[in-house]
Amino acid sequence: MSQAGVVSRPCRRPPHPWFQCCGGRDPRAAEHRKHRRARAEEPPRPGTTVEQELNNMLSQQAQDEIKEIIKRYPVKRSAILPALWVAQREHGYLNEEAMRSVAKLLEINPTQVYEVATFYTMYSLKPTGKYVIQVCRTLSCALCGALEILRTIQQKLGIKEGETTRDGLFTLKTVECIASCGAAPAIQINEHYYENLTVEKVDRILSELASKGKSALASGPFMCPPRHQAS
Amino acid sequence: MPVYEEILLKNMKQPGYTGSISDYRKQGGYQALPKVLKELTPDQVIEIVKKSGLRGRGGAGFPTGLKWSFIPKDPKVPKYLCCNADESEPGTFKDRQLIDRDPHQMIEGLIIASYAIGAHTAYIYTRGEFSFGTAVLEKALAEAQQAGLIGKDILGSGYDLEVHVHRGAGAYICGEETALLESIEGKRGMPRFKPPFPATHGLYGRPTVVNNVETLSNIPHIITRGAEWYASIGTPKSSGTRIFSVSGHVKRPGNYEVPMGITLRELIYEHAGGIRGDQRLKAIIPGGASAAFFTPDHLDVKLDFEEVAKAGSMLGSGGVTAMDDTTCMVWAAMNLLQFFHHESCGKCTPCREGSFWLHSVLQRIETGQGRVEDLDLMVNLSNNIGGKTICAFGDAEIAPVLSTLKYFKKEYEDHIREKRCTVRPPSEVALTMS
Repeated sequence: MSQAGVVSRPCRRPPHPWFQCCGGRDPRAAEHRKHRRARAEEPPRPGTTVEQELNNMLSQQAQDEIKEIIKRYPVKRSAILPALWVAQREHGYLNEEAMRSVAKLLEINPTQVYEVATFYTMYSLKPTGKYVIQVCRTLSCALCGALEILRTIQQKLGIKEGETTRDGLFTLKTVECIASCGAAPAIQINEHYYENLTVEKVDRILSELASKGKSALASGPFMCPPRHQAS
Repeated sequence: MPVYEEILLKNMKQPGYTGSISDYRKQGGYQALPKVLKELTPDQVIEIVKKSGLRGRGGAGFPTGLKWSFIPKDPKVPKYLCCNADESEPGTFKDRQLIDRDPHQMIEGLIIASYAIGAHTAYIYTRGEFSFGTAVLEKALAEAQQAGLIGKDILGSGYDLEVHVHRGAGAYICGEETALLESIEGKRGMPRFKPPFPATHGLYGRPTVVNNVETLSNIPHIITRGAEWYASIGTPKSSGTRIFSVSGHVKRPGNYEVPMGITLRELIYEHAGGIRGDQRLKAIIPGGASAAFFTPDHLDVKLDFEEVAKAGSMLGSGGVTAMDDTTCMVWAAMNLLQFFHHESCGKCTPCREGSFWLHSVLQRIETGQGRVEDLDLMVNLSNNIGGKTICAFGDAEIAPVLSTLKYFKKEYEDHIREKRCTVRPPSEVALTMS
């Protein structure tokens, strides 16, 4: 990133967003390897600015964390899932530059990172609200009133499933079973579970999150039935 | 109400138990591990587990000792142990409690299992939603490492073991063992064709054993109290206790650890308190969403692997869901098919297209647009999915459809003839069909 100026491009084809150049089909492949490495010095992709690209890349701390994660596995590709969690934590979602940085750190093809990011439901490729509300809709929760809880949240926040509130605070999603069936209906907001819900509890949780940033109703270590109710 | 000795849930129910290593040791933990490392060879450990009759608690019920014995003994080949903590089967929540409340019980079992198969690296695959559980496990592993129970030269025995937690990111299919291995390898969680089995070609192509959290949690107890003691609990072919996760329309939903072989009636009416509001029971799922539905006629079926299979369903993950009279069976099947359609990995055409098709047909029937031909269509579709896929997901997704058609056919016919849901009021249908 320290050199100035544009590196002369031996390949006539415009850079592909994923392969960073023509993909190596030009017979002067050795020159491509050189100019791929110099990609950072090149002008940004159409539609973005250099500042945006830089901001969206991974911080040094995140990169160091990923390098530590790589040591746990004999094959670098195994670190994709934990690395994407680190990358998602940086900006709240997985942007293209972050995914490309992960691919560079793991020395794999960016497509391999992209295919993993699009398969697993908890990785978000679009910006989300500060709190992602995930309402479980599978059988046990649905039997115990989860869909009423979903409607309550929709009415209170004024958004439908998949949408984000205008103030960027809440995103609403429905998800499949989150292993809280005995304490149904249950939802998960970011990293916390909220269980045994009623309409009043939902109101309280949403207002506490909006005002204080955390809610006292978040569940701790799971035990069901709770000890005081055990037969 | 009969009271049974709890094995796995015992520690966490002691007042003030936090799950830390010192609390676990105070309850008698980490006594099996020194005994195994100092007195027993790996083959002897496998023999003990075989004699105990322990069967996998993840859903398939494969004999654990037998699975371990399939691993080749060549010491030059690296082997892996994976703990399957990807608990995503609807209706099941026992592993979450075991991880959150008593992680060291499972870790001790994991170390003993790795020693038995000769693995020097173990991965615990937790599902993405278990961020709390992942943090608890990482803390517990750090405590164990500090106490010299994981790492190099454990307790001076010369055995090395590295344990890492690999957090998933939201995929039910990654609970399938080969999809789990694909996910640890950093790929999409698409199951592999079997054979070859993970015992010979598993993680990175090496011999691998994948075991469930509950299965591994039983191991320390089998070592300390003996295989004969464990085999004496439960039934001859399904020994030991089982944690059943009871949910749905019961008064006291929760995890109940009972010996194998008690009746469904006892589990629902005595342990879980019966149906809420004392309503009439209409249907039960005995083993998670992949198991076929049961009716109240099946209440006296004994809960072990053989008896439930003989009665037409499967014990599976032990997630018992009870539904009362207010539940529409077409809606219940539709809800589960929505789950299966969403979670299908997409590799096999019958499952990928079939789950979408079955879900659409069930949606049409539930909203009153069903046709008479739909019932035969669904049976035809199910027969073209079941047994024709790479993994058991295909058989799982047709179970709700075929079993509700078998036992509640009249309800389907009423829906089609009257062009509406005949069980739930229209307001509720509007609420739940978004």
